[in-house]
Amino acid sequence: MAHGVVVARTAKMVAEILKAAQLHRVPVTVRGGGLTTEGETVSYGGLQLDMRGMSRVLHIDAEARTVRAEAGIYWHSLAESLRRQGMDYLSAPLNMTSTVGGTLGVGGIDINSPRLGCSADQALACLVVTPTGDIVECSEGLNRDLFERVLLGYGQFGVIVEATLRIRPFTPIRMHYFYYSSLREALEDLKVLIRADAADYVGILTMLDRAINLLVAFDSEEREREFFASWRGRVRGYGEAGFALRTAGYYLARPWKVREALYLLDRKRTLLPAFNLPHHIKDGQIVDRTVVFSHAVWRFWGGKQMVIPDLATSEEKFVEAILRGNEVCKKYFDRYTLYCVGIKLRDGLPRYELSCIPPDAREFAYGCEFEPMLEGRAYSRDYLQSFKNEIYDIGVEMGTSYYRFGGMMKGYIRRAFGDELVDRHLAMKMEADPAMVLNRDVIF
Amino acid sequence: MADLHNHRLSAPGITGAEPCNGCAVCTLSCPVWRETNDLMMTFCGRMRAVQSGAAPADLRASVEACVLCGSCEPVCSFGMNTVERTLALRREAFGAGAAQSRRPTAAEPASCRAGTRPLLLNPLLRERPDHGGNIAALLGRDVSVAPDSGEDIAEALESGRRLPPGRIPEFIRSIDGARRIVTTDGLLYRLLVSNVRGARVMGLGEALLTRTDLASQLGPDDLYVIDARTYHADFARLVALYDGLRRRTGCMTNLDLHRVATPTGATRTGRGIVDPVRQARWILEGRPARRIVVEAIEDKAPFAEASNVPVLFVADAAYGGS
Repeated sequence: MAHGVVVARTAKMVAEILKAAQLHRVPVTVRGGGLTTEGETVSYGGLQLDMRGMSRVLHIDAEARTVRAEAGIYWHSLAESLRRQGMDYLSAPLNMTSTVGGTLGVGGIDINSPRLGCSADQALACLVVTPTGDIVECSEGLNRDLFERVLLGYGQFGVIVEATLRIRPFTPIRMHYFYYSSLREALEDLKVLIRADAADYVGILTMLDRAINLLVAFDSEEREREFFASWRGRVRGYGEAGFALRTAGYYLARPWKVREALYLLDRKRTLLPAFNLPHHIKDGQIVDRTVVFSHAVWRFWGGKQMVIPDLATSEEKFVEAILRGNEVCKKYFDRYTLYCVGIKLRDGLPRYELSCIPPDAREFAYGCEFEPMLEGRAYSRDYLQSFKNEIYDIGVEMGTSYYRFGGMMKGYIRRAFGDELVDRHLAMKMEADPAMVLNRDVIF
Repeated sequence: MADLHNHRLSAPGITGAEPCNGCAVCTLSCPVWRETNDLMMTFCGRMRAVQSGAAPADLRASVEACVLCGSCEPVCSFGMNTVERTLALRREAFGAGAAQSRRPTAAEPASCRAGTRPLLLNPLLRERPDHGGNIAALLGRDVSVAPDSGEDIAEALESGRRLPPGRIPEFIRSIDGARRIVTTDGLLYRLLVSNVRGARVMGLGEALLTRTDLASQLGPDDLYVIDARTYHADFARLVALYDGLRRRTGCMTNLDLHRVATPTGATRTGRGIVDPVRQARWILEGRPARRIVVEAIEDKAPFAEASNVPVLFVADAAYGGS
């Protein structure tokens, strides 16, 4: 537990806190939405700095397509302001209560990340309070070193207090689903579609490992038409009716799997309406899909006990890593969900070093979350930790990275990245944060 | 059947804070969060505090700040009855005092004219007979202003103070047998929906939209401000009504991206943390209305201060078209 909590209100206040923290060697743990799942925002003593007190939208420039906001703002609150001017952010986590600053420090992925990149790559500039209490504006053209350190930096090199982000005109989306009974085929098709930029949004969500949903969506009719003209024939997934028939045949021939069949039916019955709320549909398009999806995620996958280990891989390693992770899930749980997306990269950016972006990824990286459906059953901490460790061990063996990149699993960072890289970053950290007060025990 | 004597607003089985997992989605539409950015002042903060052992008395400031708009309720990821839970905390934190009962006087009839549909008016509207009379006339000959408006019950619900035993059953009896009830108070709406069997309960906005030609007068230059308390008390049903209104007329509304009605907080009795004028300005931001129509009479003043366009109470807007 923290010894105290401060709600940040101004950059100057944050600077004073960090200066005092350096002087008195008091740990400061920074919290936005608190949605990282490895305890990164859990304080072990010291001060917890709640950035949500800084959540104003400072300026929207619809012509230049930028927004400047305080970094403690929830992405959803930012969306509310942007929508008043017909605009939207580019890409952000589906969790409405993640904050801009926290996401820029972690990465931030969405099903349009294969096209638009991770949230951190949308930042054009940041106002940062360094661990020694300096307030510094940074961008790719100004104080670039600091800019590259705070983005995807897990809060080690400064507190982001303001950010300038790219934005775009808001569009509702047209969504389509393709169903697979082969995880491998779905993963391979995902890669093909991402590589070809065939859709504006694309991702995978599984109900069972033989009921996989590849979802594709479009911002425009034109892109939708292009997809169906050029790519539908190459996607091996079935439409809902075709998949239902095949699945029915499968389970009729295997009556001992009746429970599994009933589970699938129940998921379909409960999930589909949640993704098709009439007041969020207009002319066949989903309006405010983040609201729709985020509510569904919390409702059907949320809970007090949530365990979501993940892997972040290069394109080449993606299919094998996820298939191996899938086997681990089957070993530990009856029911689980995989959520897979791609991330477009801007190769060679220093910010990717020692981050959730795998070091061998070029042009695209891929991430997969493995989420067991705990279904109200009590699992021991050891059981859940063993499950997580087996997933993370895949990362070590295959040389991948992790989306959850720190906190309780920080021990894997050294194993995955090697001492040389970690020690080099540790040296940078010690120079920037001599008393090692800022977000201690997250990475180092 | 709800426990009327303890002012329960919904069916038994309401749980405590247990279902909350701190997702904080409830803060996204919360006017107190918008005002303070202090999690402790929100429903999520209160529930997490209770889970950690906080007593209702520890949460007085938070409970008192709540404007009971109910905007947290439709978005709660775990389906919690957030308004009931907050009211319960308010009773526990402040319930030592007794509320004043305001029954009809001996000169007033105990119940509505037989065969009429009761119209329950809040004190502001009762003080303006022209409003009250107009509303009843607008809604039809079969509507009459109920002598027992239940305003003391609404105040008690809001303040957490106890009513004399039997007051609520007495109120329910006064409108017993009515098949339609129209109320201008969102907290009473909740009580009535849970306790009056066989009656269709409507808020004033819904009643005017469906029984007059008010909707036909609305257009793309209008901002129609939905009464948050009533809307959220019956969200699953009313979201379709107002979505339909928006599609048919093109009018702007105070619905946010969740389709939750952003409140001003003006319907809250007494002073609180939320500044209704500031909330009104937020509602107006990016919405270039040339006219504002408000369902709750209390919203008229903050919107009048926050804008320089005509602001009409919904009954006046409907009357103007009739």
